[in-house]
Amino acid sequence: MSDAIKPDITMDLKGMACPMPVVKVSQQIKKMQIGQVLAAETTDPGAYADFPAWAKSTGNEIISTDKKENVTTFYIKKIK
Amino acid sequence: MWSKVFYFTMVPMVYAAVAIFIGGLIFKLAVVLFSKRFKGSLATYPKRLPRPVGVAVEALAVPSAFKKDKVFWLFILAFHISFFLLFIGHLELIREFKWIQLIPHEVFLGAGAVGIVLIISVLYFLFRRFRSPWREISVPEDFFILILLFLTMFLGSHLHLSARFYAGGGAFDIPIEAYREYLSSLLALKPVVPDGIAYSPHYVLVALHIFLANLVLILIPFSKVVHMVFAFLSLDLKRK
Amino acid sequence: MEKEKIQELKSILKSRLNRPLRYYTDTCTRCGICYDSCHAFYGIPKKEYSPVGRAEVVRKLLKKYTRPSGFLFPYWGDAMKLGDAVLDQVFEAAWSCTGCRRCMVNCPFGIDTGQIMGVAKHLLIENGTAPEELIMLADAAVEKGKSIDQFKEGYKQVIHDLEKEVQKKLNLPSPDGLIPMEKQGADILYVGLAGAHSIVNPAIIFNAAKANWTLSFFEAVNFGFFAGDPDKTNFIAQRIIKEAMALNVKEVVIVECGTAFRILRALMGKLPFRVSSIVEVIHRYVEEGKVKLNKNSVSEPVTYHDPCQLGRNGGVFEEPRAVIRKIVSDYREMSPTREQNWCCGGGGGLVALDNEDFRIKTGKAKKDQIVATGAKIVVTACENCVSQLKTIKGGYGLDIEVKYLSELVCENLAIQSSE
Ligand code: SF4
Ligand code: SF4
Repeated sequence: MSDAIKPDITMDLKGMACPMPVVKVSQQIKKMQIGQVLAAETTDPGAYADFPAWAKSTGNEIISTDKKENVTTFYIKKIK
Repeated sequence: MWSKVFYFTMVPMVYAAVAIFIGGLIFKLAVVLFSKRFKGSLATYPKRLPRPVGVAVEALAVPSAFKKDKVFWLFILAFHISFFLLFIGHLELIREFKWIQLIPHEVFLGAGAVGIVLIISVLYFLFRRFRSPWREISVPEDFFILILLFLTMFLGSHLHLSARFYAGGGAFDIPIEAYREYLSSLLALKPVVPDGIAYSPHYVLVALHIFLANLVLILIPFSKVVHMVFAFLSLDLKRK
Repeated sequence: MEKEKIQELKSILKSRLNRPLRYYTDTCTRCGICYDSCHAFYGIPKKEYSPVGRAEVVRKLLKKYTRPSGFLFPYWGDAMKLGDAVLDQVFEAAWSCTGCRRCMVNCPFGIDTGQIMGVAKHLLIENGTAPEELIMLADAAVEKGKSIDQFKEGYKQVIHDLEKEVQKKLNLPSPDGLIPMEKQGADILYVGLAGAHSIVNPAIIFNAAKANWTLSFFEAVNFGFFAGDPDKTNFIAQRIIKEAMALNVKEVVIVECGTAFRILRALMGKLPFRVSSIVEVIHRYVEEGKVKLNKNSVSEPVTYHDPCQLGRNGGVFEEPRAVIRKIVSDYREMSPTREQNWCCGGGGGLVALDNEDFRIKTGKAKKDQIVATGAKIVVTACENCVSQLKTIKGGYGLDIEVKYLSELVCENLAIQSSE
């Protein structure tokens, strides 16, 4: 499924300490335009709950997640 | 006219000041009592001594100051111990107390040294604040209180020393008995300003001393000087 | 500033005036003894970064709006009126303070400048000038608490993957159940963080000790607290408390995160379970012989950084040292140490902010301390501290390795065969 998604920016958040992944993503998202897609690669299991919760509370959308080995990529679309 | 002003300072204002002092402290404590407690613990570790002992040691020996600045610490201790002795000394001006005479001495306790130590310490505290960085963190209150204490203590010390060293010489003629008569009459609620004071050429100095002391009393509950009570309470929180 | 906003800010000032705050407002004599006890001041020596300097900003507001004297004679205590310029000062004070409370142990009255900065942070939230990263993280944590059921399945899936790592490390026959979740009546509810290391290493230790434990769905850290929002702080902490009570556990064990530990241990009042740090639990297992360590297996010089919330504010000083000394042959103490240890400069939510230059500068005290020990490995037990120590390492080009205590323990675990 993710093959179809062309992220505008890809971020490597693997192994970052708490709470850097979410912070970095939201800093990046702020710089992007509405409709663009950010791919965030992480190894954090917590991201499975944190990213969706973050997206929900900030009003962005996770359009897809893709898991390869222990790296998960979240595709986040900027909505507003 | 002036005698009325003096009388006002020496009698009604003293009662008012004492009332404000006591009432103020009670008020302050009541306000604290009725404000929200902190739900958790504000403790810091390690808690080396049992709680009350630890609080007492920290409040009375000020180890934090000792660690930071030995000279400052010396003056802090000198000032606070002397302040306590000063309080006891004034009790002696009310009447003879046996327990104070445990170490026999002529009134007042310390033969004038207490006052001198206080004056020097207060000046040290004051001049310290003229320097950076203490100047930048000081507010008018800090200077005002120190100046007030300096003036009060300076006058008090002067009255005492001159009485002590010129006694009988006639230059300074307010005998100890006059103070005792005055203060015990205040305490008995039958206030008089005895002739020994009222007809002394130095009445003005006595009145001024009393006036300033009244101000100090009034200010204690409403200024940072409440630390004489609150220090124990806030240090206690640290060990809860 | 508009009238309504001033009114709101005033009511916050009033609402925050509890007993400790009253003592702290009235008692400070501006003696200046705390002046240079702050690492921020050590790194950037200006009055605004001294504990009394920053506390005075808030105290002057408290005086103005909650004290008759400040109202009648503002000049007396230099009471200040609310306004944009003042709120900028409030911001500078609050967001340069890590809440490490080193100043508190050095104040003759035990004044907790960290508490006072809590008021400052609260004001900034109301004023709309609080750091948005933290507000956002707090909101996400609240959201997660509200709709946890939606996330449970996905989370369990990834956790299951981690079980294999535990299996590999301990040479166990099967990965299943090595990281239990939602286990009713477990002895321990372990609360980790988002990162895999915060779950895998403790899981290895729990399994090695054959503990009856279960993993929480939530992350231990409390961004509501960092942001300074009392309601969110409470909500975020309650997520864990509720989970622990629903599972009926005896003990909640907190990941290597100082703030999370202190909040649950000291700030939430009495709880129906015991709250421990993973550090204490590791120590307990080692002492009881449930976890065996390879003696003296690290010969490089090692030092330990006391996370402020664990040490000075939590009383966990000896446990980590005892564990490290078992593994390490050349242990070096920092100076000053324990309750006088310098804060790394990353606490209070500061690591989450875009302020690296500031943190490198204010990490100078820590840097100097580390360099003086000559240690090659710096061990600590707090996620924030690790991040900040790495920032310091990068900023000053130090030749050190920063490690979690749990990491050091797992690397040097004496593993028995699976039989
Ligand atoms: S040491 Fe305590 S009393 Fe002295 S200035 Fe600092 S906070 Fe105030
Ligand atoms: S709590 Fe720590 S960071 Fe804050 S003022 Fe005190 S010493 Fe500085």
